[in-house]
Amino acid sequence: MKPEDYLQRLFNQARIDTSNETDQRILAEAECTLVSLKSNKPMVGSAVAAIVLLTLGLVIWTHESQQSVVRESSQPIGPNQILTMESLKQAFNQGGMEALDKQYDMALHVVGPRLTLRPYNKYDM
Amino acid sequence: MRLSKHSIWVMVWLFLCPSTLWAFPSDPNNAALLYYQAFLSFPGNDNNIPMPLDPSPTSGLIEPNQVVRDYLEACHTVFEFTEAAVKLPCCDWGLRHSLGESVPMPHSMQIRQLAFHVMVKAQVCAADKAYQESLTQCLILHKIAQHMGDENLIAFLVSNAIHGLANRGVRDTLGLMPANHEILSWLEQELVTVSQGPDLVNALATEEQITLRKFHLDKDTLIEKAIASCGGRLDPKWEQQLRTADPAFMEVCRAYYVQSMAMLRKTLQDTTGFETKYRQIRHQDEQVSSDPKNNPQAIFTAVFRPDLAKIYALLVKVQSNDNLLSVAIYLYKHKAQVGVLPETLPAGLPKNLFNGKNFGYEKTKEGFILRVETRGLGRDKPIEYGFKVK
Repeated sequence: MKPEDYLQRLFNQARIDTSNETDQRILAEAECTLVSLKSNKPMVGSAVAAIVLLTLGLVIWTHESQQSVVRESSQPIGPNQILTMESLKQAFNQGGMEALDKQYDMALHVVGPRLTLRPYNKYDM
Repeated sequence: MRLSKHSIWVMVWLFLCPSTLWAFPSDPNNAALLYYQAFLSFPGNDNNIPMPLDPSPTSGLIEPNQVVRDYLEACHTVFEFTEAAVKLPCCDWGLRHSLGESVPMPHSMQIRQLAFHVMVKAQVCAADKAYQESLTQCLILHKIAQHMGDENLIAFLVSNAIHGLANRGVRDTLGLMPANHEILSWLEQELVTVSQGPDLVNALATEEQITLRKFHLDKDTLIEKAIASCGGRLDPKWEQQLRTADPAFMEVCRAYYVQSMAMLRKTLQDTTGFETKYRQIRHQDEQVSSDPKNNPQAIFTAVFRPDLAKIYALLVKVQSNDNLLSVAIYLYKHKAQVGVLPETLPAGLPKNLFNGKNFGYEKTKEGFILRVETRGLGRDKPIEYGFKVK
């Protein structure tokens, strides 16, 4: 495959994956370079193609890394994680029975559309 | 027609052993299986009933309006499973103890919800003047607390809390019920059979085993667990000391922890009164918290050992309130028999476990107040429980 065809394929791929403004600008600049590459100086064009290739690769890799960080941080904490013995003990150690009840309320909310009764806070009996 | 001996024996066997022929699967003998089915039977909110149901700010009770009644009706399968479950002596929740502290305990959340539902049912029954049914629901709460058990610290805490909720239910119902000697005597007898609460020593035994398993983990994992136990806020100096320690140090930390728990167990099993015991446990808690400053082998114990003084106080509060309820029932019975409340409490009644003395007693316009002195907990004022008498 010719370098310029390879570049064209890479642009198309990048266009699908990227959504960031900066990425758009870089893509536009690279496209202009590709056009001039096809029309004019082959030797200079190859060097530029290599640089553009490297830049695009970096842009795509960075974008995916950011997305993966976002994915990890937005993973919801399931009810099982806050209902382990360890987690419940931590809640109690930090805030007593009230904190334990709050953790249960939070888990109930995550578990689903169950009707909840307001817990009786008066554990005075 | 003469039957052969063989035929006769076959007929005798068929007659005596019907169960082998008409085998029918028996009902579960593990209450937990019925509770799990009760949890699965909670209705969804297809009718958009406004939730949660809040108790009235004035009475502290749920108003038994049509919304509440409809909701309880929708929960009838839940209550059926629960009533079947409490009749069984055995309750094994099927926890995967091999997971140690990572074991999920969703049943503790669901049993807590179930307890609140039973409490609301008790209140609605009392509002409908079905007092014995209301008290029966409170006794069901006691049995649920017993089934929750004390196999670990969380089970103990939830069990203790449900036990307290049951006592509160009894107190609320007694306040609405006209004096009835027969019902009160029945209640007194029933409470004796169900008032056995969870055992803190049992819960701590499991706690100790779970913690000791952690000392077999590699050092870095153990340190990460210690950090997590502190909510991510382990003293950086402690962390530094732990990370630079050699493997033999882990064994020393383990020995310190074992010694600390043995001392705690001995204190709990002692027969001294609450004040002395509480003071000793609190002293041990404080020592464990401050030891790491001069003694790095105490770090893991300081992190993993729960605040036992607080837990012990919760236990004694519920146990003392068992006694308080017994005294209240005596007073209600006195009123039912004689027509008036006594002027003072007679000797020989159950005591306030916080100080080993009689509860404070005062007649009021609405009924009476029983006071619980809790100076041992550092409180100046006693806790007052008002009981209405009809």
